[in-house]
Amino acid sequence: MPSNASERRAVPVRAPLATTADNALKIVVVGGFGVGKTTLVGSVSEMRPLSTEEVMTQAGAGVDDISAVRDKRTTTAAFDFGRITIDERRVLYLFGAPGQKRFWFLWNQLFTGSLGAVVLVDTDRVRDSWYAIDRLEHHRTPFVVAVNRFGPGPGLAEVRRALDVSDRVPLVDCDARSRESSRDVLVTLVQHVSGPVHGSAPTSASTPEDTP
Amino acid sequence: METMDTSLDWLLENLRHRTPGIRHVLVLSRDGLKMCHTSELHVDRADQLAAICAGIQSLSLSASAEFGDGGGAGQAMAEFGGGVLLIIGAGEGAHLAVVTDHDADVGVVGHNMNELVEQIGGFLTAAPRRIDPAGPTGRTGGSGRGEWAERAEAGAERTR
Repeated sequence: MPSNASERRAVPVRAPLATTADNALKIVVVGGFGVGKTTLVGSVSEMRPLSTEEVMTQAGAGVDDISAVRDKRTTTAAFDFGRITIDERRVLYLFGAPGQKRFWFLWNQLFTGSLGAVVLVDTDRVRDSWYAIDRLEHHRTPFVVAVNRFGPGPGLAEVRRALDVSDRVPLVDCDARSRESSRDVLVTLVQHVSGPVHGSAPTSASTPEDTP
Repeated sequence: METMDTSLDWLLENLRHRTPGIRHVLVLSRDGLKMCHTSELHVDRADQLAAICAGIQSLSLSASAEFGDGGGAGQAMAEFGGGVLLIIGAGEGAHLAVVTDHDADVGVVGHNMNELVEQIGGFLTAAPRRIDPAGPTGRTGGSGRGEWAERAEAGAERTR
């Protein structure tokens, strides 16, 4: 092992794991192709996120539909991984799933042992999220739905109807590029699966949806 | 299938037939799509193998970035009951993968794979995706958006 130097190079963590953390929760982030899963894990992680992004190639023309995400140049080929401490004791290990159908076989392993999930939704392509929701309901994994806002779009009540999820499933808005917003989504999930988070009530993300 | 370049298939067949123990040979793009493969490998299995190999190579690249010099993945090998999977870089944006029987001589297989890439790696490439500038502009257009806007407005009407 010649690599003390390279190991040092590889460890600039943004925040060390708190010594008080004794409760690890495995969380998966799922959703359709190009909805912002990698962005969310990357923006919220307190350590340098593992990202397995690969340049999309000509082989994907006619397979990966990028008409709705034209600025997209790379795609996740395995999974994203990040970590965030939610409160004194609870730390979340985030696994971002790949979106395309050809990588769905990985989801079983990612789902194993997970305590909850975030389903990211793009309101332009709501139906891309159906598969993720079906899988989670089948596995009986608790989840929250987060609408990654790319611009003006339907209200949350509309989205809930389109997704046909129960009123018990929390549904929030978010901006996956924002650390605070993404963190709020995760706080909402943690509260949904394992009780209140003290001292850090989610702000914008938990705005109750307008009921018609 | 658009992603298939069958003109190179015979070279892959050649690798398979001259190397004892090789069951399948596949060339895949780095984003996980099959480009060409030997004939005994069913297309569905080829799709599956391509995605698996892209994931392995992508994780290997991360390992290289975190614990190596970041120079990228050389080769990956997975051993399992009933076989061995070997993957090496081919041309730009592509990988060459081989599945062997469990008793194959991995040294010979690896050598022959590298030889093939040396010979024809320049042809085993997957160029980055071109974006069609004349195409629809996605988010700003499309009927789905209009429909949603109407429904959202209707929703807003109701809440007022």
